[in-house]
Amino acid sequence: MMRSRFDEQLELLNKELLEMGALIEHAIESASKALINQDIDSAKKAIEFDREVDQKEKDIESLCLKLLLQQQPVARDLRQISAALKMITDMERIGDQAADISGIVIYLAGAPYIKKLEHLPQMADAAIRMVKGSIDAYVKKDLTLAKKIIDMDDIIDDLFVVIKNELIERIHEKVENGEQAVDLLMVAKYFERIGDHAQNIAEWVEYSITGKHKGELI
Amino acid sequence: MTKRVFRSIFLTSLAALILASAFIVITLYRIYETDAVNELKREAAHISEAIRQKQSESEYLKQIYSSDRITLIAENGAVIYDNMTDASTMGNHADRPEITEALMTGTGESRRYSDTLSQMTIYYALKTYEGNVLRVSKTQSSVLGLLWDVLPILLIILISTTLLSYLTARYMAKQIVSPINALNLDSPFESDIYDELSPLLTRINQQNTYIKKQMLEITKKQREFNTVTQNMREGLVLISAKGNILSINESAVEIFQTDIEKSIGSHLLSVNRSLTMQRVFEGALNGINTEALLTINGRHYQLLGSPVVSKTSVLGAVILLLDITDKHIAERSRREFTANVSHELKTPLTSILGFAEIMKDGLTRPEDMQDFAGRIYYEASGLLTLIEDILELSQLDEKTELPDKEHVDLYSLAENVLSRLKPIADKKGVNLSLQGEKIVVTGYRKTLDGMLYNLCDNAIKYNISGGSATVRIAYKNNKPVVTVSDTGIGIPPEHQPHVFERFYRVDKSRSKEIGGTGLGLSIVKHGAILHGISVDMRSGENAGTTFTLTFPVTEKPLNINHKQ
Repeated sequence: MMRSRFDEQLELLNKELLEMGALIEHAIESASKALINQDIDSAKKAIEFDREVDQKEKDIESLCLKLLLQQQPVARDLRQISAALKMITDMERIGDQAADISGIVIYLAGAPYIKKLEHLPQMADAAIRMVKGSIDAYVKKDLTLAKKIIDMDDIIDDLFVVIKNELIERIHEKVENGEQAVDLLMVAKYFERIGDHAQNIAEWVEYSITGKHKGELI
Repeated sequence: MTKRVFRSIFLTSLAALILASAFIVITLYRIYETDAVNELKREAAHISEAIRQKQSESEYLKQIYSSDRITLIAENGAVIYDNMTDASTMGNHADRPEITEALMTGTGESRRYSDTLSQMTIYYALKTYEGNVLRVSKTQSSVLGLLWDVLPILLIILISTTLLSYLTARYMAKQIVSPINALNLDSPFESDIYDELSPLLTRINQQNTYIKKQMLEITKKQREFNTVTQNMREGLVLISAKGNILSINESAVEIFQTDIEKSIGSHLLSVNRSLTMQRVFEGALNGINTEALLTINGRHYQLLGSPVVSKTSVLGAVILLLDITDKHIAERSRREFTANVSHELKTPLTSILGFAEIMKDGLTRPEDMQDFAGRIYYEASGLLTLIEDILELSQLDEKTELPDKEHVDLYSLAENVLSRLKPIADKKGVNLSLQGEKIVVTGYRKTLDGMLYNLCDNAIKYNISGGSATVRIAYKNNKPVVTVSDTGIGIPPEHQPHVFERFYRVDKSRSKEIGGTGLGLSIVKHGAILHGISVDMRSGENAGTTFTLTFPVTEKPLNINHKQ
């Protein structure tokens, strides 16, 4: 009887995590759409999503703590719950990052970009794929996918360097470009951070499956 | 059960053993006591007989050796002799019950606590011939002593029988239970078992049959359900009140790109976690029919969520996915077409209206009149062509009111088309040629004519002065093939995927001077679809364009067609 209640709560946790995952996916998609199309509505939507994400994080956190205290899970169950606790922190940060990007997009919306965005959309796309993939890996308990996501972070890191160099060039061309270049660099940095957080999520997924975090038993 | 049977058997036998031992002890004690009393009687009789002849009773008594206590008491109660204690120290014994009894009746018997020996004692008294009373007594401990001797044997017997009963009870318990354990519940009557169980077994058997029947029915229903759902083109997902997937059909599995085993039992969100999906299934689980548009991997689905409701609560929901991609695209292209048509119709009309207005107001010089009228004529005839093209296209779209198929000779058809286009080609300086043989296909003459006309028209229109346009009609791999090639300006690669779209123009700025409606290749495409013709286009910028129409294999190539 006790057990089935526990299982029910674990299922609920799973569902809540999925919902939170969907929310951050939409948040970052909206932010990226807002960035590419200079679309203020989308940006506002992303900020709205972030609020929901924050609320979800609180809900899941209290659910996890309740499970830990009341059910005192062991082994795989304990891993799943502790991984969930760690994952939501990263998910919440992704939501924040998406909102931050949107904030910059709203600020930049008044003027055209100093250059046609080329690598930023690529970066956004890679970040979205990483976030989606990390959540997919969680859903499917897919170790190979999780590992693939962990490796994908390098793509984003490389893109960040490319964008940085491009923006430096723009500033060299014309000093007035500086202000927007700095903002765009921030956006790129946020995407880079999103990639890192997605990587973290994938690592926690790996931990919940194998019990090893970054190759170490913990 | 084994334990219980064992315990009852063992405890019963243990109780029986203890009871039996107790009875034996009591009986033995009784027997020993009776024996003791009898012995006392006999001894007293012997002694009284012996002392009858003797002068001094006490002197004689002293000579007797006996483990029992012997006392001689005078009629007045004074103790004359006692073999255990000094007689002089003993008090008067007249009040002792056995003495009193013996004095009165001759014999006396009593059992009491002896003051002298401080022990429970059995007394027997006998009146001697002299009138004295002879008393013989035995302490009870001597009787118990006898029992004490028997006790070890009794204990050994008790322990060994207990052990034996323990083992037997265990064995018996196992024996009793083992057929029950060995019972085959699927066919309870096959095994030989206690009669007492047969009502239960009959019941089990009935239940078995009932369950089997129900299972069969359920499997049958399940199979029917599966057959229906698995062959549906629409995706169907049944979810529980908590949102877990109960059933998912093949199409849905394909749409969500998941697999059936993994998805059943897991939450719907683990299959698709889009906000649309969340909204639809949450709405359905709250008892509301919900509908939404969901895009997965570039395909559009209409998502319908309906609750499954019992009297009081929502038991789950049915999620239906309809692929409306084609409809969606068709609708979009129709919308675009309408918008384009209006625009294309408006442009020449505006121009006609403009010239007509100037002429109406009399603002033209007479010498310009002809030029203006010519422009109106040119625009109006363009408009007419456009309308004709649109009509043709919409006829192809509708696929209704088509005449019967007939045999068409492609060669003579091409001849006819080229002769009609000759004046335009001459004006442009393009050389027309026709090669090949007579090939007869089955099709709609008017449509085929339109297709060929448009292709040749394009070959002339997008050509250079002094260029050539060639139509070849031949068999290739048994299939009739029509090739229209030119030496014209060609189509840049980035435009090639779009040229069959309605109103698509490669060079929008030059379309006015070249003319044409932008519908020609669209007509070709639709005509090809109607006839099952595959259209191949090869082109390069300034390298000419070649269109190849490959007809499906005709049943039997007909050489002669004299219709018309």
